[in-house]
Parts: sequence; C-alpha cells; structure tokens
Amino acid sequence: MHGGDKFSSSVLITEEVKNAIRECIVFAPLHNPPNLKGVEAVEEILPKVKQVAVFDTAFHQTMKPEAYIYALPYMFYEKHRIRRYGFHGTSHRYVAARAAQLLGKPLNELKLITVHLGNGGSVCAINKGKSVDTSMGHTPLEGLAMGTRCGDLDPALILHIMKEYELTISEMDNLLNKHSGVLGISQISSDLRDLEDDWPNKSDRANLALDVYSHRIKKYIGAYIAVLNGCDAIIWTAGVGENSPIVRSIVHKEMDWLGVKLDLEKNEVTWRGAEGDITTPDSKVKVLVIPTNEELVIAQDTIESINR
Amino acid sequence: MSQKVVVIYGAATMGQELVQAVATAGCEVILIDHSEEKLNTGLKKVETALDSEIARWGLTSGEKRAIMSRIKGTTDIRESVKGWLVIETLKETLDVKRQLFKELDATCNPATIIASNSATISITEIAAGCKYPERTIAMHFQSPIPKVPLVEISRGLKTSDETFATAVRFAKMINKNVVSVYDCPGFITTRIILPMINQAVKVLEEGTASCEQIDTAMKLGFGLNAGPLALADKIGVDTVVFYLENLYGETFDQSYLPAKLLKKMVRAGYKGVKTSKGFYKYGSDGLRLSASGLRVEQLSQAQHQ
Repeated sequence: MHGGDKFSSSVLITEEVKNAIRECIVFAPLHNPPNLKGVEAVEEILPKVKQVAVFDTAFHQTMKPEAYIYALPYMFYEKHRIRRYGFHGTSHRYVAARAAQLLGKPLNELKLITVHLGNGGSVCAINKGKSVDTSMGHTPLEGLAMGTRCGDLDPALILHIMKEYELTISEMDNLLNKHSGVLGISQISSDLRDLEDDWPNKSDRANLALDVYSHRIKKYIGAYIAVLNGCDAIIWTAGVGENSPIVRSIVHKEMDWLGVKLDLEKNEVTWRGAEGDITTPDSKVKVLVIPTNEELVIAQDTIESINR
Repeated sequence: MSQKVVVIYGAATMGQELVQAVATAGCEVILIDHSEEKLNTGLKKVETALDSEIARWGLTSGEKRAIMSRIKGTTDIRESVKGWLVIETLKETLDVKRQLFKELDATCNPATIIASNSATISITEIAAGCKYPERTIAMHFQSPIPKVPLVEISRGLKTSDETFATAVRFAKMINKNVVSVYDCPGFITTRIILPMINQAVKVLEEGTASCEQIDTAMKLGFGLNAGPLALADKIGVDTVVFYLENLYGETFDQSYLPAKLLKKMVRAGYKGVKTSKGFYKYGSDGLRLSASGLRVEQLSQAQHQ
C-alpha cells in the first residue's frame, strides 16, 4: 500500500490507520482502495483477527528533503504533499539486509545500491541500512525504463505530444504507462525474455530497447555511487534482476573505473533462484544477485507489529 | 436478468458510441437492432473506434480484446430481458420511441430500468403507454460519448426516486458527471446550444460572415471546442432541424424556429459529416476539407443540379 509520508514502518491496523490509508488514496488510486476493501472484508468475516499494513513506500521515508523535493513551486509540496515517495521498499530493505549477511558485515557499516527489476523497476541508494535516494518518484512512473513505462523523460515532451496529437489526459496517461518502455521502443514485447531470446541477433530494435533499458540503470548506479560517496556492493533482485545475465552484463560492462569487475562466467550461471557474488575476487565493489523475499519481510513485520 | 448486463437498443452512431463507452467501463453489453445489416455495421464500427483508440495510445490491444469480449449483438428484442438496464438510442421521433418503450415495458421484468437517450422529447410522453412508468428515465449522452464526461438525466413525472438513484449510480460507474432536471425536453445542453446554432445559421444566411469566420469567432471568443456550424455538421443538420422543431412545438419559443437555410440544406442533402457535406465538406475519413465553408449561393445552384 501507499503510505504517503504518514507511515515509515509497518503498523497494526486501527481505525486511525485506515483513515490515514484512505487519505493516501489520491497517491495510489489503483492500490489503496482494493487493499482497504480486503481489510474491511477480513474485519467482517474474522473480527478478532489482527491485521497489519505493510507499505511499499515506508522504507524510503528516511530520504532527506534534497532527495525527495521536486524543483517545482514549493506550494505543491506544502499543500498536496507532492514529493518523491519511492516504491518496492519491502524488497530493497530485504535484499540490503541479506547482502549484509552475505558480505559478513553489519548493515550499518555498508553503502549499498539495490536494483529491483520486475515488470516495474527501481534503484535505491542505501547508507547504513537506510534509504537515501530512489529512482521511482511520486508515482511508479519515474526513473528506469520499464516493461511498458517510460521512466525519466523531458517533461516538456508530454506537453508537446499532447498538443501535437491532441491527446486527452487519459490517452497520455496510457501512452506513458502502457505503450512505452521496452515495448514502446522494440514494438515486440514488454517482456525482456522475448527481447533476449537469440540476443543479439533478434533485431536492431530489440537490442536498442535492451541498451536503453540497461543504460538507464547504469546511469542511476553512477549517480548513487556519487550520492553515497562510495559503494560496497550492488545488488540485483526480482524477476529481471535475478534472471537476466544479459542486462547485468550490459550494465556492468566498462565499470572497472568505479571498481566493478564482473566475472562473466559467474554472471551466466547465477539465475533461476541462485544467490551469490558475480564479481572477480579483485573487484573492489561486489555485485550480488539476491532473490527477493517480500513475503518473509511482511511476515516478520507482522510478528513485530503484533508483539509491539 | 443479470446485474451486469446493459442492453443498448439501436446500432446507429449514438448506439455504437454508447456500447464502446459502457463496455470500456467494464460492463457487459448487448446491442440490439432490428436490422442485421445495421447491427453488423454498428459492431464493426465499435471495433474500428477501439482500433483508433489503440493508434492514439488510449488503449492496448489486450484491453481491446477484453472490451470486445464484453459486447454481444442480436436482432432479437427478447434479448433485452437479460439486462438490468435498457437504453434506447433510436431516431428522435415520439412515435418510434413510444412504440419501443411499450414493447420493452411488456417484455422486461418490472425491475428493469428503461432509459431513453432522447434529447428533445419528454420522457413522460415517451413512457405514456407503459404499465410501469416509474422505471423509465431519460439519460442524454453527448457525442462523442466515450470522450464527453457528461450525462444529463431527466426524470419523468412518474419516475421513481429509486430509478433515478440507480441511473445516477450507473452514470458514475461509466465515469460520467451527472446533471439532472425534471421532465425537461432539451435538458440544459440542447436547450441552450440550439438557439446558438440557429442564430449562427441566420448570420450566415444574411451574408454577415462566412462559415469559417463565424466558427472562428465563437471558438476563440468563448473557448469552445468547435464552432456552432461545425457542431451542427457533427450533430447532423437534419437532426438539428428535428430538435428545433421538437423544441419549438414544446415551447413555442421563436428562437427554436428553424432558420430557412437549415431546411433548404436538409432538402438538398447537406446533412453534415455523415453525408460528407454540410456547412463544410468532409473527406471519406470524416475530416473537414480546408476552405470548404458553404457559401449560400452554392446551395441554390445545388438545388438546380
């Protein structure tokens, strides 16, 4: 659920919490209402059972204003809470903690960059276990190029295209959310597996889509190394992150100046649920593949919230 | 009678647009027309409209498949018993609509709501022959229905509060804003726009200004999407005359007396976009040709041809 700036951790559901979730509907009109309905249905059928709300935005509430304020008239933040919220928090949090275990160091001594790539995708800069910056914004449309979402683009283009093609708001919304990303570029598929099939011989456009997709990730990693002033490990997770040696190899190609040296063989074999380091022993920055486990975090949060 | 199925009667333009809007909003739709040919053309046009939505990035092909799977067509009026709501979009004449309402009233379950898309005829009169007039109501959608977020709802004298509340709920479900009036032919939109069109035609007829000048002035001066003459072409010049005459008969207000030129145009076949000529000329794609504004003298020649 979208917790706006009201929730920085999972909570036991009370009337007050429900009202706050209701107030966040404007941020997530597609997610919060059905979730609330589920909560209310459970209340009706199992009135004695406690329920816990886990927010995809909560982990990023540690971001500082310089990371979450947009360079728009400040009124939009004050009046409408328009700011960066970030998503996939549960997943970024889980893989960061797991990375600390694999690296054998305490989480609060690590600088990590986590790359969550599913149908949607986001990158997160994590310092001492806390989210410092993330690529998704007020909505999950910002940041990386995704299956069908455009991610970052020149905002003037939205105005230009709407004017030139006389598009309505809902048409433009669809264009950006459902017709763009790797589907928009390749015109083949929103599923990376279809583009990677027979790579790099499939088609120029399939390769271009993969290159644009990967280049954007590389750019964010570079930016976050600067934001964190260093990096101990980069972590790949979720559907594409765990299973696409091709994207990982494009992104990490020529990153040795930043201290990343990929072990091509390990990269090739670490997929389908495998976990591990895919760099050479002399790589200053480690690159880890970690299957995400949001369900485990949700279960742990639930126990913690109930016992609190 | 399913809680999900909406029946739409009449497969002409309004029917097609309504089917598209309702099915896109997630409801199952049955489109009924007595003519098999019109039905098939209508269904094909709905599909074409969805395709052009995809071309404008408004839909994905997956969404189109889902929408089309919710649409069924039939020539059998008895299929209307399957809907909880029936909306008719027939020609704007009292007899035709009254006859259909009578038939629907006799076939449908008394709980089924029967709605008319009539713009200018009193719903009370349309429902006059019905045994259960409390379930009748007028819902006036504006073309292009999938794009215009408005429906005007008019209650007849006998329409029940429950029927009204359900109609409002349905309108909101398909993402329309509601304005409601009591038994008022012409509602708000048609009542007010018709005298404007009529005056625009008179200004043209007098030779005061050209089609283009009139439309440009009204469009830019008042921030309208289309000028009154272009709008008349879209509605259909013959339909405009129908509406005016209906409202004149209803109100005896002089501003609804059709301008002479309007009737002349209808007789000469200048009926607007649907006949490729009206106040402007249109290509086969329905787009207006440039510098094609009607000159009044042109029409007297056309009549002699």
